[in-house]
Amino acid sequence: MKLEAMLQRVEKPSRYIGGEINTFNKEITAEMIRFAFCFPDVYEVGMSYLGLQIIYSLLNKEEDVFCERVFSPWKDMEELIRENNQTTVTLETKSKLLDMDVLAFTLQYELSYTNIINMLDLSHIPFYAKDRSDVHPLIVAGGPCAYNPEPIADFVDLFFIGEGEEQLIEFIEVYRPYKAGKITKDEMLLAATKIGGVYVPKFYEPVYDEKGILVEVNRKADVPEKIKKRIVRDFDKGFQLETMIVPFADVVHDRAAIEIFRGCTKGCRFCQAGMIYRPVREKSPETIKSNVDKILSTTGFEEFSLTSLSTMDYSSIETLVSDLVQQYEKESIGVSLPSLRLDSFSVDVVKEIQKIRKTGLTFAPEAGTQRLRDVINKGVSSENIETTFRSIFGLGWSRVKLYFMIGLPTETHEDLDGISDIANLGTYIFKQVKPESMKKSVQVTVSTSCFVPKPFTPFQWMPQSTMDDFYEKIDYLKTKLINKKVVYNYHDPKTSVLEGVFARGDRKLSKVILKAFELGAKFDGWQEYFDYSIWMQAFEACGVDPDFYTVRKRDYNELFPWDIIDPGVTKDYLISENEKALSGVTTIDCREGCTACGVNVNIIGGAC
Amino acid sequence: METLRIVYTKQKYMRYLSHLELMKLFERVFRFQKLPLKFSEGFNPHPKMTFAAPLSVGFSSQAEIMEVQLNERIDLEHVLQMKFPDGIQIIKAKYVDSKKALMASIDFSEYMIRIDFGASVSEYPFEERAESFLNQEAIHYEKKTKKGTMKTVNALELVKSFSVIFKEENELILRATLASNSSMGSLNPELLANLFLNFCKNEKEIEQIEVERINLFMTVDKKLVSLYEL
Repeated sequence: MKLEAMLQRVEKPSRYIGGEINTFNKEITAEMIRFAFCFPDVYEVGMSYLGLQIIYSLLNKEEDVFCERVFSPWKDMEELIRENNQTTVTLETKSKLLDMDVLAFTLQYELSYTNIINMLDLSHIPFYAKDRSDVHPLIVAGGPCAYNPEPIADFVDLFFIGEGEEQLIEFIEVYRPYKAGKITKDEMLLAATKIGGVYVPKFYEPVYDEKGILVEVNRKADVPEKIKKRIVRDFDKGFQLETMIVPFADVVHDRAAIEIFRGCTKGCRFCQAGMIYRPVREKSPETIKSNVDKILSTTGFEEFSLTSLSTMDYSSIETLVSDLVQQYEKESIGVSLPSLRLDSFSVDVVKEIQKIRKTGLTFAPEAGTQRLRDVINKGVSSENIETTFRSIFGLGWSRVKLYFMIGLPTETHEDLDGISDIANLGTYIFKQVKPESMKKSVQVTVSTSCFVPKPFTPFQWMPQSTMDDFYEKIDYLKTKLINKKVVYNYHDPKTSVLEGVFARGDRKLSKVILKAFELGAKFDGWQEYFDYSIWMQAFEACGVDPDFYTVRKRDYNELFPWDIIDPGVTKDYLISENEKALSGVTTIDCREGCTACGVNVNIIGGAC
Repeated sequence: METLRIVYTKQKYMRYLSHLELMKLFERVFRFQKLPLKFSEGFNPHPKMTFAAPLSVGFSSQAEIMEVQLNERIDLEHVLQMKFPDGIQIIKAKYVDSKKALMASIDFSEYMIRIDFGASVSEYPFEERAESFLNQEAIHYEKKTKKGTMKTVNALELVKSFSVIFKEENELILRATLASNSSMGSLNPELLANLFLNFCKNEKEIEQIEVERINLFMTVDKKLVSLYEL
């Protein structure tokens, strides 16, 4: 059966057709380096990822590189591919992955690892790096989960650590002589380790003790002892994204995205992004406005979002937003802000953007009591929360979403009570301050996720809650959140526990991933696919204990599998933050003064 | 206010776009081509566009028709040169007086239906059977109504013309003009092909049915007018 006939039979064929506005179609010559950006999830998820847009645009500017896209086929398409002995193909030229030079997987979440295996399987490419040769594409990977590459290190030839804009271009330079047949695969890989931020697992051999704890890492070649993450130093002058692919299908974030800064100064102790993307680098308002203009005039998006880890912290956010609103209002183009702080300042800015489109509001207090918010260094006070409720409900909003985490270090039932107190406070303030004309009643939605300790955060030594603990806490919250105006949603602890295994996992997990795949695991991030029992079966079959990775408390002097990576932030800083957490001492936002995390010394060079 | 009418193709891979996806695509191309779009009022302003007789996902078309409201006229050359993804091409554009809703004025669609069989069908007299197919008193089939109940429909009442136009080895091409109007009812060409093959007692495996719309007709002054003449 041909692709066309398969497309007639699937639920959403537009996921597979390509040809969207601003996509590329280059002539394929013998010299052309064929690069496939592989997102191990469906089109709608992958096309919402800004990194894909950046890399696609960046690489296709190179004359001798053709970057195409591949997503995981949904179940219906996968069945047709297997039944008809077909393979996964690229969207641009409908080429087999075996015909590509480089397959680049992005690692956005741990639960997509089985989808990587599935994509290789659908393309008849050997899973293990050691089983592949010159005839196979080179498998590379990057993204946030590459900061602990070990669980999939046996499958991947080369990892990119940090921001890709500069290192990808440098990698292409190393790849060219290999493509031309002038150097061997090993020579190319070794040369790649010299460009900085590149980890080639085959050159590093972990040694474990009898308990399975890592004791040392032997280097098998002349490669760096630690892989220092790469960043774009001058974010205002470096590569600028000035156009985007305009997706078909109902993608998750169907709007233009303009990055306004990278990094975050807040220092929340649970947050990996806040640590690994340091230091903060802002774009100037002029650059941002030019980016917005160029992207909108080549895409026609009716909405754009100013993205970053904490958009309200941009130095001149208020004037930036009001300038942009004023400029685009007449064309009915809306501005959206991905994350709001709980304070009156944020509410003022939101008031501005809602002139065009009124949307729901979402805030993340993360924890229910001041004590616990201090432990995690979430700089939100009870007063902030109350003031925010007063202003949003006073302005006529009636729905608000609140995000919390359960299972945070030192959490007690008092902290859970705090969650319900905040939700009830919201409904109470609504009655006090709502405009007289308001007929609607209030709805406060509380969502809880389960805390997963992540590498390179102050909580990387902490045990994760057990599954039973998570369920007990959720049940407790169910009995507490009985207010009819409060809706409670919670994230399933089973997936969080598995995420916890891989977040702090080591190389012994590759066989578990493969086993789970063989037993049928895929799309583990999707509730309708995820099967916890398959995973437990896989752990047992491989003789690997998941508790070793999740609920075990680690010593400060334990060597971690991810310690081969240098994220810039020092271990000493993380230890001191962990200590401060346990004694409930907060750390200031580093925009107000340096907190000596080490990133400026290690990555930028010079004084901190 | 001006009404711009556009005739366009929906072919190649673009035939897999759903109606919603197609509308969004047009809106975005219009936006970055800086058409002076007229927006609806309210909290979620959207451009005023009408697409006549939406095609099923997977059917291609040589000629589709849509209208968009503009605040002022712009050069039609600019409209004709707008670039869409490969498979969508604007073939005609003009300003019209739009008093009657476009959706309601399409009465018939003409289709080519290409059927690929798993084995040769060259021996079978499809041409003769097409005549007797049409000479039946009625061709009943069950259709789900909007309420979810089933009702019996006579397909013949929805067929304006039907013929076999090509037959060779594993391939058969049918041509049919069928009702496609929201009030009169409409008949899916793929369904018609299946009704015909059942009537012919076909037992050969069907690999693929490809449908292409080749024309749309409106009733103007009680006469049927092809969209090419509009």
